[in-house]
Amino acid sequence: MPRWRRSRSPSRAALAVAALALAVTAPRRAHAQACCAGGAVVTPARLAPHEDVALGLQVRARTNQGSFDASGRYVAAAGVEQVFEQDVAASVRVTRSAQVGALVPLVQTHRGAAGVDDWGGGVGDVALTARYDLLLAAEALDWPGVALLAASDLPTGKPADEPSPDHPLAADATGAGTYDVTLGLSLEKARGHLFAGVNGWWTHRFARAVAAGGGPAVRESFSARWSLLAVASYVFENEAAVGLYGSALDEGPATIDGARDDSTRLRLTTFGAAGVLPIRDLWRVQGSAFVDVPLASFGRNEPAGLGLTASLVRVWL
Amino acid sequence: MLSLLLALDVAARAATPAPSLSDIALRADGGRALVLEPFVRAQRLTAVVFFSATCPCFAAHRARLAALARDLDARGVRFVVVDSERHAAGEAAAGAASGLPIWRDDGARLARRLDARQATETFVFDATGALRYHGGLDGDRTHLTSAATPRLRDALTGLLAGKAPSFASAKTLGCVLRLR
Repeated sequence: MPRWRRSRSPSRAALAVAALALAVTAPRRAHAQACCAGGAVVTPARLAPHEDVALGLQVRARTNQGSFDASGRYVAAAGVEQVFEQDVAASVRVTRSAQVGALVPLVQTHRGAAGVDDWGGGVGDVALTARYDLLLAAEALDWPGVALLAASDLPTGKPADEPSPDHPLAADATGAGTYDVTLGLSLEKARGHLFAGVNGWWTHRFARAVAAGGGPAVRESFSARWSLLAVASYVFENEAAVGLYGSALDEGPATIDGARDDSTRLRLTTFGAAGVLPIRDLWRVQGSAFVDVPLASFGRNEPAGLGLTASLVRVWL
Repeated sequence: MLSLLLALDVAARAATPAPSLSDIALRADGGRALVLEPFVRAQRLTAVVFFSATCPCFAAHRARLAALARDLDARGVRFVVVDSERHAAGEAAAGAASGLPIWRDDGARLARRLDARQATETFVFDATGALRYHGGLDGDRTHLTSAATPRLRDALTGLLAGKAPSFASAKTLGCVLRLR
């Protein structure tokens, strides 16, 4: 599920990469540079080298058809869970090589189970991102483009453990309840019409106090989270692009009041297809379809589902 | 985070060499050579335009560039279209830019000397070898419009009229040059 920020899924972060070997010969006529359009396939608000500012809206609809338990076993859902999200994202070029961004999500959730129907929503966790391109994907014939990534989520949303009598299924939960910081590395390669990329992230989530169910508060600290996003795309003459991507996240056990709890590990694996269509250099529309792999060991303690995204982005050159 | 990004960029720009055309020789198909510095000093103004065979921005501007060269030729303005890119085996390097010859910059020496990064990026030198304009061709990228600001044309006509400032720069809307 292409995202503009890093959060629960690695594809929520800034970008793509590639160390994939692309044995292709570039066409002899002028064609769209895959460097410029390929990166927008999964991250529509990412600025191409010639762009200074981007402002976008993204809508995202997701239905969770099951979930993974602590052992990694997939269990089909007895009830229903649907999440609809609207994001406002902006990116600004700070220098020729650096760009920063922010994303403000508005989340609505519908959950139903055992005769209870719960609707809720609100502002989610605001995400801040930064990217510094050391070498652009199209800048070198043999070497991949390399970029440093950084991100942070701010706990502006409402965590699921916060008491809410009106929402028995916590449908008003919109955030993780803690700050986090992420560092990442992006490798990308563009050759002819083809673009491929791999991003890797390390995330530290800060410890937080949790008082579930109104009981005494416990202190929860988190293991490092590792995330990976791989994407391959084909860029057409008009700089439209289509691609496939896969993402995975893995987080070790949390510590509850100093005691390690192995049942809290997180894992999720997602695959999807995405496309982006530029409109006269100043606009682009992007869309994707994604599915979390509903197979044992491809997830832990995460809901699994499928969904669609659509984005409209205005850029300034 | 922001300060770190700025520091990285300042460090990168600190290594940018001062523009100089000495010892730069370009070559064209058939073995013709162009030693740039004496050529520049023999013209009233010289516009060095960087080219990429795979850049849709350059392709979109071929006709405009050729028209500009035709319009200003009689007033002593010469255009030197330069291909500095490193090419993959079997990849066609050039062709012609709508009538303008394309000169090979082996080893990207000129691009590195000028710190050129993008196709359509243009450097205008006067007869003393001084850089008078650095930037793009106009305000369009791949979709040409009649409302685009004709940046290079304005700079050249201003320089010819003696009205332009001693140096001007404008943003380039081109493609990343593959120099490595």
